[in-house]
Amino acid sequence: MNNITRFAFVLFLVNLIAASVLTGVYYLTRPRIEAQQKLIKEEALRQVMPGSVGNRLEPFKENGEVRYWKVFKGSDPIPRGYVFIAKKYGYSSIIESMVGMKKDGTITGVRVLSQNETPGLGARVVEVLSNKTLITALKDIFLRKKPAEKRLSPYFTGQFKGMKIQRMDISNIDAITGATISSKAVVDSIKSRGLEILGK
Amino acid sequence: MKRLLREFLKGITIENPTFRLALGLCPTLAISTSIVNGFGMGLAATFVIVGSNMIVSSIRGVIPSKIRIPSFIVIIATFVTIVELVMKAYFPSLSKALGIFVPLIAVNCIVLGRAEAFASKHGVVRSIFDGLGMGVGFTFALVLISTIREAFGNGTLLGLIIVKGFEPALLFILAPGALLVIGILMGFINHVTER
Repeated sequence: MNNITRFAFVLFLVNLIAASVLTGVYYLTRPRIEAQQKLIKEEALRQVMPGSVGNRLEPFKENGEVRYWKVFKGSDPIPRGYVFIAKKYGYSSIIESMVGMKKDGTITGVRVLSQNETPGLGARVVEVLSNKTLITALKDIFLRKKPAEKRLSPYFTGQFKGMKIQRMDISNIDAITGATISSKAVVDSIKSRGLEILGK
Repeated sequence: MKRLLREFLKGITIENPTFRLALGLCPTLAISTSIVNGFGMGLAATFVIVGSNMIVSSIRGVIPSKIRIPSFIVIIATFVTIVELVMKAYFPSLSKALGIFVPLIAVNCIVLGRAEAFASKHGVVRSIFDGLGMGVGFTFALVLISTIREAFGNGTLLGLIIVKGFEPALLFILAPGALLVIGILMGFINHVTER
């Protein structure tokens, strides 16, 4: 009996110390983590909705929750487009992407916000393909040439740009090799959520 | 000093966690698909092994042996959570790339294995060196495996295309490919060292 109370006490102490350390680290890193997440979201917003379509975003709320954003241009009271977040379970995780769409259903940009798909397969929905080969990269290093900086974006979601949401389907996009389920989840989530918003 | 160096080097060579002790193969299969992932995972795991070895060895006299395993697990999980939070705050792209594997370091058997087999029986300094060696050995193995897998399975090194027009063998990116690579490397190392 004596032993059991001693064990319980030691374990309690170990847990207490661990919990207080973690609380400290959590409070120290929380503002930074939140800032990072906000940054990612803002950058995604800018990427999916070009300024030529609209520059003023207004959140559309339903039951007190932001469902999507309406995009306005200048003082025009009619929305020019929408930005929404599409979610669907892929192969091993929920794939969440931010989508910009014009009023007529033309997609202006897609950006995957979070996913935990299989590395090397499904996770390639966010892969950015380098335009350099090993040889040209080595040449750049040896000749001390400044490589031509080009803003690269993921090729998988890049192909949705300019596509009409009504015509979007897994059969007319290039799916990722070996990751049909992940590719399909992205397409389906965007299509169903986009049509839902257009139908309103 | 010489003993400490030996403690450090054994993790890389004769007691390499991946090729010799065959520990932590599960995260190795999952993460070694690209060099960046392998290296990042190796560094994160090194930090956790060193941290948990340090704490476990310094409290080894206080914890009753009957409840040592749950205590070790709490200590390891604490370090893993610290790594996860710090990574999210300061290296968001790395934490995004490693995803689910960071919390999974907690169940990496190298960490618990070293805590149980080494740190709970040796002093703090030796345990730190043991953890460092194990971590570096694990990182080295991960980088080696992921170099081969990335080159054959994706046709790239560090994300750069090796030769244009090479159709990558997808098998190497998948888990069976990892088993093949680890098996061949292990066999090769055994063959060399046995001579």
